[in-house]
Amino acid sequence: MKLGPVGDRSGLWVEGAVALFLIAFPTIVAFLNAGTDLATRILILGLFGLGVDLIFGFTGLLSFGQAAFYGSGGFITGYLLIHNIVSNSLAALALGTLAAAFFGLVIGALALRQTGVYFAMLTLAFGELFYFLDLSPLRNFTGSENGMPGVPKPVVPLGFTTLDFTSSMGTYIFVAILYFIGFVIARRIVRSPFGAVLRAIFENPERAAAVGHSVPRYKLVVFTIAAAYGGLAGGLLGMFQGYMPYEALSIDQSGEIIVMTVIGGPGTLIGPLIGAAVWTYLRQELQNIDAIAGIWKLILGLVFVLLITGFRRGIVGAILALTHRWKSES
Amino acid sequence: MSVHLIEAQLLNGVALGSILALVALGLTITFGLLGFVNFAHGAFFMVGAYAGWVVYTKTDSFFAGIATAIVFTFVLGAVIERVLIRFYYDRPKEDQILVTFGLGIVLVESVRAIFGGKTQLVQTPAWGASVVQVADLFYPQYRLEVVGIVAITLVTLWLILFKTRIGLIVRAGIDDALIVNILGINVHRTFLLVFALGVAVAGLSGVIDAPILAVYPDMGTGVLVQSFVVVVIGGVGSFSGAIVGGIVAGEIISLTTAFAPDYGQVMLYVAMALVLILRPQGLLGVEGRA
Amino acid sequence: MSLNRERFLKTSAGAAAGVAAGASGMHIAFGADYSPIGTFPSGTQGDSVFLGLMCPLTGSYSADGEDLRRGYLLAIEQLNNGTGVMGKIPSLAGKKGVLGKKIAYKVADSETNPNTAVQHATEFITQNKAIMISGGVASSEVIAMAKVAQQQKVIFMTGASGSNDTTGKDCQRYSFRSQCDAYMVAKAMAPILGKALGTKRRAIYLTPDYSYGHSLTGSMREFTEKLGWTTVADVVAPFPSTDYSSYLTNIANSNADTFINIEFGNDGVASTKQAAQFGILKKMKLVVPNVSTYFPDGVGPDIMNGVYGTQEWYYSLAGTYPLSKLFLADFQKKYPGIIPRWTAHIAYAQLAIWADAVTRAKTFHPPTVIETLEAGKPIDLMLGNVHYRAGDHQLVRPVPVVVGKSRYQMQNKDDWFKVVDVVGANDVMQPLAGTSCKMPSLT
Repeated sequence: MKLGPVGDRSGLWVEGAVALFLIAFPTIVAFLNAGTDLATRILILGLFGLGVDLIFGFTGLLSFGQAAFYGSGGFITGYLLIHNIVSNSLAALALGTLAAAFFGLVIGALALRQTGVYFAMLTLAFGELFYFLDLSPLRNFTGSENGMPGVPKPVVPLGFTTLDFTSSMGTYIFVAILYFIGFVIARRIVRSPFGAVLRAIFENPERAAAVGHSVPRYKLVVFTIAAAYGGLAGGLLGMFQGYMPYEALSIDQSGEIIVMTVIGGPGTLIGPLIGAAVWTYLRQELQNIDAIAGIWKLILGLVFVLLITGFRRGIVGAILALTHRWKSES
Repeated sequence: MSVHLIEAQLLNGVALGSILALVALGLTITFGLLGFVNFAHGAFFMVGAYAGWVVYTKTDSFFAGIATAIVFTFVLGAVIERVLIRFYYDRPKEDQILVTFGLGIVLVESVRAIFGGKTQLVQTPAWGASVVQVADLFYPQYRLEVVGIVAITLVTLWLILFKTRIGLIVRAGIDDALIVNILGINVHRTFLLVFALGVAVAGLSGVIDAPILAVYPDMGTGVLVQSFVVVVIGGVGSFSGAIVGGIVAGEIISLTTAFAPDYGQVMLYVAMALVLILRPQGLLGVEGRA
Repeated sequence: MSLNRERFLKTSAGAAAGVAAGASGMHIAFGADYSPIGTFPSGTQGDSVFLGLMCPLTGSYSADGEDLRRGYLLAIEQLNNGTGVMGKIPSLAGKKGVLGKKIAYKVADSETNPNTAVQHATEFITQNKAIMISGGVASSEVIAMAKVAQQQKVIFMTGASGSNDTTGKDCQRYSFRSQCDAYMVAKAMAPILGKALGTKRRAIYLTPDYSYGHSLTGSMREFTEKLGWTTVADVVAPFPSTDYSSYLTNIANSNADTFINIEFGNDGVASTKQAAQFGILKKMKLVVPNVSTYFPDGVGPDIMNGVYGTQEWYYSLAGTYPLSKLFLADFQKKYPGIIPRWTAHIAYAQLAIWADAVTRAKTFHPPTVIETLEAGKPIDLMLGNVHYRAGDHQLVRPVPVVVGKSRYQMQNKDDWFKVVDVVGANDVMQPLAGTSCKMPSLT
């Protein structure tokens, strides 16, 4: 039962729908008695997840080390801004993203020599390597277990004026714009010939190679792209929190983004966003119910196992599959 | 840096290595024989430690604790295999990873819900509590005994797999499930046995490690990653590979610590990356088993 | 004529002010001006104020987090009802709630994870308009949350944090730390160690490689070397670690006679158990300067016997301090069969100190409350009189030095220690000049 991405949604209406959703999101969140900050956090994870979905949902590469890029992008962006090496938020983000992409290139070149379980283990190892490097040898730069506080909120000087995104809503708008751009790019990738090859590799790598595609090169490119998404999201995390935590590099973080992608639905691009929303919201709400506050993680773990067993396509995937069937039956 | 100290670290590497090897052995059984990746391996390790602790505290017999850990995790593994795992043999490896990852969370949080997050006391058994002299070095008796326990476990496993009828069926079933099925032998029961066996070895390593480590619900997380590293270095699907991988890992950690303590952990991952790049099947691995 | 007009103006002005105050729900001390800052006054509009509490309920510090949580819940219950130790505090006596407001709260699981703690703290402030936040069971969590508090201008009463940095280079104007820091622990222990173990010892340290670890080792070395002790070596282990055999091999092969284990929490438990296996505890005397909440339970009485250390608070002090006795009794009433540990004490004490300061300041306005706390009027609590000092927001307080009991001396499963001495604040506080704290501003 190899599951590839779910169908091909054509038309600009998808991007339009996402844009509308991004505009409505703060209101939805307020309606559910949560703050704008929750929405921003979910978007950052969704952005991180866009990259993960590209490699996992569309190419079938399960990496347990994506936190390495999330974290390193975040720390580099944060470091540049805190120490005033770069004062433009966008420039710092760009540099952090580039650095993460570079790491993605290097790790990808090494890890992608393997497939399947070996690949997963290798990415796990590299993720841990970055984690331990951050904690000990690089502690003077990264603050080790204290993390890196003081990352300024986004400010974009445009010469004639300065765009200030420092308020709660301002930060949301900044992140939402970048998420939208990221989403549009990801969709372009997926619907391009490049994306078609990725899907071919997912379904049958030998056949793709037989037809003449350089499978390793495609994998490396998409892996690097995913790393870039991770780095961008990490940079935004630091700005949003005003603080860059060392846990951004941990196995738990790598595992969490995979869980969110699976819950939401791999191969749908918005799956990770939905998964992040569900996971983050449930986690908060479950802890509010006194009787089960202590076992929120147990409940979510059970939900995850059930989802994988029964609803392999995740929430979005299941919905899409249903509408597909309904459409073809009518 | 004295020769004496280096000798001490070399010895430590072997002892530490056998502990790592025991943990990796459980993983090798499921991965090597079934091709199934168990990301809940660390959680089963922890369950074994807790099972042993409960009985050890009640009966004052560490042997009883060990026996309980083995039996309990074996049964638990069998139940989980029937209820969950057997639906995943034909699913992609990624799904196996994901479901066992989730299973690991469920196990850890269940233990926390039942016993709380408090660190539990598992004392070194009386027969391991002293210090032994090896040449001119002093070393914990218990750790040396663990080397012995690992050896016994290996021999037992080898005997089961290569000298019994069940072991024959297991090996045949792995090689060619279809034929074995046609011959009228229940292959699924075989898989059940192998999975439960792998989990039981994880549980055994947990209870054996309990006097050394802190016993708390999250104790298995670090173990999981380290066991992967050992299996990869030593070679997937090879029992001797798990042992060799363990010893090698133990030596890497110990010797790096002697010279550059900051890099002890980092070195291990560098070594794993190197092995995967230069000799993907591991030092003693069998090529083609992915 | 003018008199009447004056009075008329005064009364109508007063009426107008009263109407305005009533309309907006603000309590303005007539004449004083508290400009809005942080969650003030938005968080004080209703009939309750909100406290955001961060406790690790999962992860490796979940047991300490549970203890912390129990302390908070007891404190809030007693604040709202005016009972127990809260009811004995002069400013709070006879009152329910704080400044007439009920205390509402939520406990979030920080998962032993600074990032999660920061996340919850921020949400409590922006969504629930928390008027004060508290919690954390590790210096890294606490230092991160203190930064949030300073940024958001909301008062943070720390949970457990023992690093010097919390009131040193990472000090914050909006954060107040009650636990004894590394300097205080070391200074309190040194003379007692000198008397009990002698002044010519050779000590070797096992230090976890992070700021708390280096902090405590540094302070211990400073004061033991003054006694006359030699430091044979400082063996640094990466943080976190599970297997310490390679470091313990180094230690076992040294010529030290005193093993000072700086490792904390589960790392402390694992490293100490392994040290026992290496025979180190037979060759050397074990000293654990800062004993984490459930450390003794993890290593057992045979190891703890005769070990010198400190406890932020210990339940046998109920025999010395009447308020400790009351706290212990009330705690056991609310949680039958459970004896409070020092993390529960921190939770309770911090909330008491805050409530007292707010009441005496007659407002929730953070800068005013901070200035009230900085004024340093002592409050009598479970360890006698304590007060905050302005220079670094470290609570000026005594340090209980303890020694482990043997299994035969233990009267119940929590009776791990005998208190050797409660070393007075004057003998332990670090001079401000040495703290490298530069307090940020109030606004």
